[in-house]
Amino acid sequence: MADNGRLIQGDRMADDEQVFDPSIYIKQLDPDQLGMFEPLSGVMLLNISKIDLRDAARRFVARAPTDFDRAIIHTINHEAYHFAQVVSSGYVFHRQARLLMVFNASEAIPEPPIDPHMQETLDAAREAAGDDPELRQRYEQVLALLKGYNQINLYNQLAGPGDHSLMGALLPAFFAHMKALAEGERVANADGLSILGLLEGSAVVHANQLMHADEDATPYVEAELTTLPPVYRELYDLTVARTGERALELLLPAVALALRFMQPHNAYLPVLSLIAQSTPGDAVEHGRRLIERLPEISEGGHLLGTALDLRRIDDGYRAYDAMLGKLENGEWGIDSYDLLARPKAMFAVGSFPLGIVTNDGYLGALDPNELAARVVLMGAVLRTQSRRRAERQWTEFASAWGRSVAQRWFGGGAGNE
Amino acid sequence: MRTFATDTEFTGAISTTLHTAVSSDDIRRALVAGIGAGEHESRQGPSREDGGMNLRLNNWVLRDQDVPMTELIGVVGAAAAAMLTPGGIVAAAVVTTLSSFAALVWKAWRKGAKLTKAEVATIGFLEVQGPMSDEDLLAKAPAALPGMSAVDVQRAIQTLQDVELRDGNIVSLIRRDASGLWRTTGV
Repeated sequence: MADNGRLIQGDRMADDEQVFDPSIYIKQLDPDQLGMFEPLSGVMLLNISKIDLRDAARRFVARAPTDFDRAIIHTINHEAYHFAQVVSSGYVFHRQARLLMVFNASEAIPEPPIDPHMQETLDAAREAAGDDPELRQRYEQVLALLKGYNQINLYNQLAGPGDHSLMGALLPAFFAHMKALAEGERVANADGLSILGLLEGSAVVHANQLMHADEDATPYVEAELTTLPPVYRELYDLTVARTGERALELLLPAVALALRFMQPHNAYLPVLSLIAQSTPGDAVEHGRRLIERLPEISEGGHLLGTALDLRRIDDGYRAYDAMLGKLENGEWGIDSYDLLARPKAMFAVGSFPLGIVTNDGYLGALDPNELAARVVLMGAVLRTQSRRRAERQWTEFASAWGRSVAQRWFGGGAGNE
Repeated sequence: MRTFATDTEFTGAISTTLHTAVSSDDIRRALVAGIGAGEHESRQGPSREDGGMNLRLNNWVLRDQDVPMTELIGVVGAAAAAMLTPGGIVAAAVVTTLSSFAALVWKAWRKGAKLTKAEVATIGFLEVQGPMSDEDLLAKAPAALPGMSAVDVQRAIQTLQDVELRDGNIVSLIRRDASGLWRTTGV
């Protein structure tokens, strides 16, 4: 159990294929969560069953979608933009590469030691049992009980408050890092923009511009923002306040460049000002021309560049290699900047190139072993496996053992001693 | 899935859903109030930092799968109340218990508990009619609900003590008290 923290290797899944049960790794989303992109594994989760997703896609293709179908397609487009953020931007790729490093560096939890006095008693019992199979079995039961008890106590000490998951107990340092990262990304700067606001706000704008590619997406963006928590509107409100009617033209090109910096929320306004110098209608191309002469932006921190730039200098994080390769060799006919700055560039990628997990299964164009490995990693990061189930089983085992002891002591019959 | 801007719109949709299953206005109002309270509490629970990039609504949400559960709350609530109010007049005390039954089931459901009809019925009869012995429970619930057997209720008594929620926690929704009677617990 202790090495469950390193399940990223695809070949391991192939070895264990016959015992792989995907349901235990599938995260059940909250009722108000339409979808989620788990960027470490590259898996998209949708709050819908597999059959409903297929039906929705069929109606959408037949141009007869229901409101719910539109919401699901919209959600896929929103989450696909998060995928684009990982494969295109230095900031998100660096964030995920660092998370994987922490994940893999997590120390295995040592088996908790048995109290020395208890160990002496056990050793004596083991010696007294000799070769008697029944006595040896009793000894093994007591040993298992003690180890289980110690392990449960240790896990409960290691896991964060309210965390009932197995992974939360096995990888406390990883989840502490993730928590600190998430808290940092929620802190808004003096202009009212946080990193989370930048990541989520741009996904909202992207999805609406993609769904309404041939019309002004403004009313759709504004309508959606009324249904979402406040962090989603930080970026849009700030951009409208600074650039007025050109907000939607400038927003994604500015995000595409800001996400090349280590502090993208702080780089955003300086980059927006540079792109706003373009003539109306030329923002995307103006942004592209800026790439080669992107100035130092002190408040934006280190200029990381694109995900491809980082991947070329370090091969520690390879989860997105296939997609990065396609961006690099021009197979999609678009580059990293396009993918973030131009919503229609997403059409070049086609269907979602990683894995999609529904409420009840998963699908995707990947090799089954790779998809399974990604789902297992996703399950670890999202802490889908409960450790309370194991605790219950231990309690039942302990109760059964207690009854058997009572039976032997007081119950009479052949087992009485 | 339907979304609503306010809790009033949300409870209005719940009331409409319950219309077929519950003919009494008093019972329906009590159940709607309970579901509304349960939903309020569910929304206030802490959401765990999961590292994913979410699309999470701020609105009130009614999913397709919530509709059969809403109707089941209605059917069970009406059946449990009918045994206490054969004349059709619902006493204030019964209204309160109906609301707390609906709130308890709704909260558990929203937290990821997958409840069967027999489990909802068992919670309903314990909440509305008060703590019961095995014998009373096994007799009353099947008698009031067509298609339910004593075996179903017996199984529900076991499974309701081992309900896994979406966050991995395992809770007991009922417990046996010191006098040997079954009663509901919170979630």
